[in-house]
Amino acid sequence: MTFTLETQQHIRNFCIIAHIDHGKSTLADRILEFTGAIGDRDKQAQFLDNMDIERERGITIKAQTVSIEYQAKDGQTYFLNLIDTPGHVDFTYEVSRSLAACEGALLVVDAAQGVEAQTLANVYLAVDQDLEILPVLNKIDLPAAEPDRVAQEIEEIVGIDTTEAVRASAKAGIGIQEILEQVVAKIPAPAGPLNEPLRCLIFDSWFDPYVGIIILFRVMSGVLPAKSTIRFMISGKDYHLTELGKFTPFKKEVSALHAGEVGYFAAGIKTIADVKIGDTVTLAHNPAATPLQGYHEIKPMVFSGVYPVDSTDFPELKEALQKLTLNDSAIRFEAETSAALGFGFRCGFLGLLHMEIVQERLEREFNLDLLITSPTVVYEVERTKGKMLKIENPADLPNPTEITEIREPFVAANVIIPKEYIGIVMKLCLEKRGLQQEMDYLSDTRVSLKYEMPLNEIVYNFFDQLKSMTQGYASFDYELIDYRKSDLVKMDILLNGEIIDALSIISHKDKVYYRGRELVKKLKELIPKQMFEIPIQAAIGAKIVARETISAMRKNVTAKCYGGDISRKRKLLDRQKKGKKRMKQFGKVEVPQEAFLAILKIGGKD
Amino acid sequence: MTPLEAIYLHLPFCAHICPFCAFSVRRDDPAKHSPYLKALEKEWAQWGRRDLDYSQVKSLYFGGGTPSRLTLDELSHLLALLLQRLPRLPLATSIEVNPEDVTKDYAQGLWNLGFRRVSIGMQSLQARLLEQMERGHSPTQNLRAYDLLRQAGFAEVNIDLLFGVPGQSESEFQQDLQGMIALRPDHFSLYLLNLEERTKIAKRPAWRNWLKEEEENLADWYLRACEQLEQAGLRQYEVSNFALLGKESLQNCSNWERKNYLALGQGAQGWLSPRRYGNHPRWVDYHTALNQGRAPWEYSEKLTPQAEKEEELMIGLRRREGLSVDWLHGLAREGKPSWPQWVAVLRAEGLAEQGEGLKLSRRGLLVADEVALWLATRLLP
Repeated sequence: MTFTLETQQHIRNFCIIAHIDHGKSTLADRILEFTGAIGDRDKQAQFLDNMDIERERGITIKAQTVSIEYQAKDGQTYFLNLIDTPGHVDFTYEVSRSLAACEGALLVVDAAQGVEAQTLANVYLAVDQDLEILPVLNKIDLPAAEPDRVAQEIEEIVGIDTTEAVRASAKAGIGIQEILEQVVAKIPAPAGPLNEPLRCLIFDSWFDPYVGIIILFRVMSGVLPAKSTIRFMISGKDYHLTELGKFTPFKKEVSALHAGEVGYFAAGIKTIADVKIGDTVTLAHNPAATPLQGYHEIKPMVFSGVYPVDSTDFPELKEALQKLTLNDSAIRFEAETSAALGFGFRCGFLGLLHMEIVQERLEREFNLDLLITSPTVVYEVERTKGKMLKIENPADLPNPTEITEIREPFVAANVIIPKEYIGIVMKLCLEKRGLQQEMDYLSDTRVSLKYEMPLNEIVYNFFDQLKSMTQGYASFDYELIDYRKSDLVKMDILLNGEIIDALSIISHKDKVYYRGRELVKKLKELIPKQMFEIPIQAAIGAKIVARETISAMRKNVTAKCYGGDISRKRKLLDRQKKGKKRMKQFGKVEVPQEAFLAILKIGGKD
Repeated sequence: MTPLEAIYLHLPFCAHICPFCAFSVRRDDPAKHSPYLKALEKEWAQWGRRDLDYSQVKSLYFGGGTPSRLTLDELSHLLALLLQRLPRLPLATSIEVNPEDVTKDYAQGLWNLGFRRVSIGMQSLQARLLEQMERGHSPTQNLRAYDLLRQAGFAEVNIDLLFGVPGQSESEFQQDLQGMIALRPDHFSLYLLNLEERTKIAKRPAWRNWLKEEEENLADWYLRACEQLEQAGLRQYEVSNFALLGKESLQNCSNWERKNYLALGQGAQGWLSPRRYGNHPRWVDYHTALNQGRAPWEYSEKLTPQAEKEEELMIGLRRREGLSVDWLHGLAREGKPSWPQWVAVLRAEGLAEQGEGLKLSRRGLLVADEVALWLATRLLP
C-alpha cells in the first residue's frame, strides 16, 4: 500500500489520561481486543501493563505504544496509534513529549470516584498542547457510579464539555465501540507534510538485550525509510537503522514510516544516555534545518544517598543501578562513603516520586535491602579559599568559618487547586518560604497560584502536605529558575551521643530549630524501643538544639518456655532475626530503614 | 539405643478454655477420654518399635490442658501403659491439677497411683481476678486443694501465680504473692501474663493496651516479687521458676539441658537429639494419623548446628546459671570472639551480672527474649 495524504487522513494518534486504578490498562486491553489486535490466545490479565513480561526480560518497559487498525461504522479503515504515557509529576517532561506525538486524548475518569489531582496535571498539559480531549466515564457498572455528578465535576474542574462523554465499563466491555467511533470522528488526523525533510519526535526509549536501545517516535514530517542512516539532531550522532517497525502490539517490521505515523526503530545503540527524549531524528543525507521545539535536557533535581543495609551487598547495588540506568536515563549515581552507613551511592533523581520508584525497583526487582537518606538539593558554596563547591550531600558542607556564601536553587512553582483551599495552601507556601507571584482564577472554582520557592523546602514533603490538605485535589508542577543566596546551616543528628552523618540536613536558619525538634520527635517514633535508653539529639555545630529520649524496653520475655515451646520460640527468633537484619546497627543501637527518611515524615505545622 | 531422660504426656481436656491459653486444648467431654487414651496407646506402641532406652527415665510429667479432668482409673491405665517399658515410676512423676478437681479421694488416689509431685493451677487467691481469668475455681477451693494434696502425702507441690490482668493493682498482686508464699510451696511458678497469638485476649484491645501501658509497673512488680520469693527460700532458677533448694523441676531442667525426652499426645513436642518433633495440635489430625498407622507428627526436623546454638542461647539466657564461657567461646567465628564486647555492653547497662560467662540480672531476665535476639543478630550468622 502506498502512503498518501489520503492514508494520513485515516491516522488517529491518541493517548489515555487516567488516574491509577481508573481503568487505563483495562481500557487499552479492551481496545486491542475489540479491534482484533490481540486474540483470546494472547490475552493476559492486562496486556499493556504486563509486569511479568517485563520481569522475564529483566528490563522495564516504561510505556507501551500500539498501532492498530479499526474498521469504523463509516466502512473505512482507520490506523489508530495508542500512545502510552508515564503518569507522574516527576515525569512531566516525558509526558509532554508523549502528548506532543498525539492529536487527542481520552480522559478516563472513574464514575464512582471522580476527577483526581494526578489526572489534572496531565489533562492541563494536554490542553496546553491543543489536544482534543474526549472524556470517558468509566466503571459505570459499579453500584457506586454517579456518572452525572462526575460529568459535572469534569466540566467544572477541567473545563471541557461532557455532553457527549462516553459512559463505559472497560472491565465489562461496555462503550468500547463508542469510544473508538469518537476517536475517529473527533480527533483530528495528523497534518505533517510528506515532502519536507524528515523530522521524528522521540518520546520513549528502552534497552532491549537483543537489539540495543529501542526508540519510540512519531514522524512529524517527511518519510523515514528502513535501513536509513539517521541523525539525532541534539546529540549530533549518526546511526544506521537495523530495524524499523510498529508494535501491533507485536513487533512488525515495515519498509518506511511517514509523517503522522508512530513506530519504533533500533540502530545498535548501546547506551540510553545517547538517546534523549524530545530529540529530533532526521536523515543524515538530507537533514532538516532545525530540530522540533520543546526539547529539554533532563537534570536530576533531588539527590539522596542509597546504601545497602548489608554492606556486603555493595557490588550488587552497583550492578542494579547500572542495569536501571539502561532504561532510565534520568538516574545519576556516583559512589560515596558515609561514616555511619559505609559504602553507597549518591543518586540524583527527577523528583521525590522518581526517587521512590527507583527505590522500589531496586528493592523489588533486585531484591536489595536499602537505606535511603533524606533527599537534598544541590547547594552552591563559596569559600574563603578555593573554588566554589557544589554540595549534594549535607555531610560534605564545609565548616561555617570556611564559607562566605551559600546559594540554594529556587523554582517557579505552580499549584492548581479548588478555590476553597486557597487560604491553607497560601499559608503552606509561605511556611515553605515561598514568594507569591500570581494568583489566577482558571474558572469559577479553580485557582492557579504561582510562587517562587526554594527547592529545598519542596523536597521536605511539600507535595505530601499539599495533597493531604487539599484531599488530593491540588496539582503541582515546578521548574528550576535560579540559585539565590540564603542563610543556611547544617544540622546533625546524634544517636546515643554519636553523629549519624546520614541523618544530617541543611536547612534555613529560621526553620532549623523547628526542624530539629520535629525531627528528633519523629525519630523517637520511628526507632523502636530497645533494651537501653537512647538519647536522640539535634545539633548545630556543638550546640544541642533539641533532644528526645527513647526509654528502655522493660519487658520482653515469654513467661513459659518449656519443652513444648522451644521449637516455636526458636522459629520466632529466626524470623525476628531476619527482620533485625533489615535494620542498621550502630554499635548496640539498631535503626530501622524508614528512620533515615524521617525528615519526610514531619508534619506540616511550623 | 537412644537413652531417654524424661517423658511428657499431654492431656488436652479443660472444663473451660482460659482466654490467655495458647496450648493445644479442647473442651472437656468425658466421652472423648476413651478415644484419646486409645490414641495415646497407639502412639506409645509406635515408639515401642524404636530403639529407645527407658531405663534412665528420671521424670514423668502429665501436663495439659488439665490432666485432673481424667479419672483415677484413666490415669491408672496410662501409668500401667508406661510401666510396660519403664522399670518403675520415677520419683519425679508429676501431674498438673486444677483446684476444683481435687477432692480428698482424688488427692489420695493420685498419691496411691504413684504421683509424687503435683502442680496446682491456682493463679490467684482473689475471686475478682480468678473470674477475670475465667478460672473455674474459688480462692477457697485453691486453699482446700492445697491442703488435701499435702494431707495425701505430696511433699513436692508447685503453685502457679498469674499476674498482669487488666485493672490489677500491685496490692492485689502482693496479696496473692504473700498468700501463696505463706502456703510454703516447694516450687513456685510466677507468670507475668503474655499475649500469645491465637488466644482470646489477643483479640481484646483492652488487654493488649493494658499490658503495653503497664509495662514499667508490671516489670517492677516482678522484680520485687523475685526478691520476696528469694527471701522465702524459693530461689529463682529461671525467668518464671522458683524452688526450694533441690526442689527444682527435673522435667524442666532436663528439657532445658536438651536431654532426650519423649512427648506423647496431641500438640506435644519431643526431642530426640538431633531431632525435634511436634505432634498435630488438632484432635482430628492427631487421631487420623494414628488411625492410619502414621506417626502423628506435624513436623519432625533435624536441627542444624546453627539452630541448636539458637536454642541454647535462648534457653541459656532464661536460666539463672546463664551461658558458660566455654559455650560463648564456641561462638567465635573465624577464631575471633566478638562476644566479650557485647557481654560488656549488657553488664554496663545492668542487664547482666559481673563474673564469668553470661548471666542475666533480674532486669535482664525481663528482657531475655530481646537479649536473645540482640545477641543472635550479632553473634550467630
